[in-house]
Amino acid sequence: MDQKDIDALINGDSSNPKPLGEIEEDEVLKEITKDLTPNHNQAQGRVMGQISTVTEESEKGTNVVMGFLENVLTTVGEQRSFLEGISKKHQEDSACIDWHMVCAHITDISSLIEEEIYAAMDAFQFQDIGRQKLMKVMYTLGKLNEYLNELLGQETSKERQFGRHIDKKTLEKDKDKDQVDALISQFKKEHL
Amino acid sequence: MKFLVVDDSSTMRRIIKNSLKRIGYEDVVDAENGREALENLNGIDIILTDWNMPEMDGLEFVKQVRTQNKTIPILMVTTNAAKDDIVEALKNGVNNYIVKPFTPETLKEKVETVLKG
Repeated sequence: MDQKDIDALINGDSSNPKPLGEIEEDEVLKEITKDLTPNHNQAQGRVMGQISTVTEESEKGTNVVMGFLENVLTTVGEQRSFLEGISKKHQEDSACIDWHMVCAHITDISSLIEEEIYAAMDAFQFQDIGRQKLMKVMYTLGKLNEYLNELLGQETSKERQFGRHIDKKTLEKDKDKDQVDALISQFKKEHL
Repeated sequence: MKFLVVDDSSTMRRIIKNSLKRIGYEDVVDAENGREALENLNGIDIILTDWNMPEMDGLEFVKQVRTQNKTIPILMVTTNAAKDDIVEALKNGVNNYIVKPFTPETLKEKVETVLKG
């Protein structure tokens, strides 16, 4: 039922062929599913497309922010080189002792800024983890689509790559490192 | 020392390249998948590859590399953390393994480990 039909029903429009009580169950089901059944591939494609767009846009957005952070790193690096150059130039000049202290202080602050920016860039790993989680959703939808297509005799969708156990993945860094290292050591003992 | 970073995520490639730069490795080339990486193997000293990629995944890429080069160090950097996955990667010629998300310290440690042999 579209809005026109609903309005007609509410307003008691005489063009509506049957009163509500006389509509058969099959007709109601047909009415509800009429927009889904013929175009289910299109609907599935829309969902996949939307998820894909979300992952692509978040990747693009992350890269834009990373680009800004890299620009800051470059500027901080240039500032450090400039100060180091001046310090070297006046290394022997004892009258410039305060200036040397200022340079050393600004250089230390520059290092702290660089550390923070690198940490911020590392934190963007969440984007890849999130992307792979969404890809697993897409994979699952794709498999469901394949199953339904097989049932209905339609073509299959292509295989997608995603992290195998990505659904339980957290953003905690190096969570599995010790376990992985132990496994690698054991493997090397047994095989090499 | 020339690095090849293979990952379908441009964000991850950038993070790894920046981390390598930070620990003193500036000569880094990258590829989006195994197929593209195979075309860029000339002059490479060490490979860092993801596992889950379109076109050609990391495991298939490692297998292909090992048919032509038995010694080049390969570090797999992936979300796959299951024991079976790690063992499968090692059996196919991966030298060491990093699970995402990781810290720059781990990347440094693992790179140094595989470079030492």
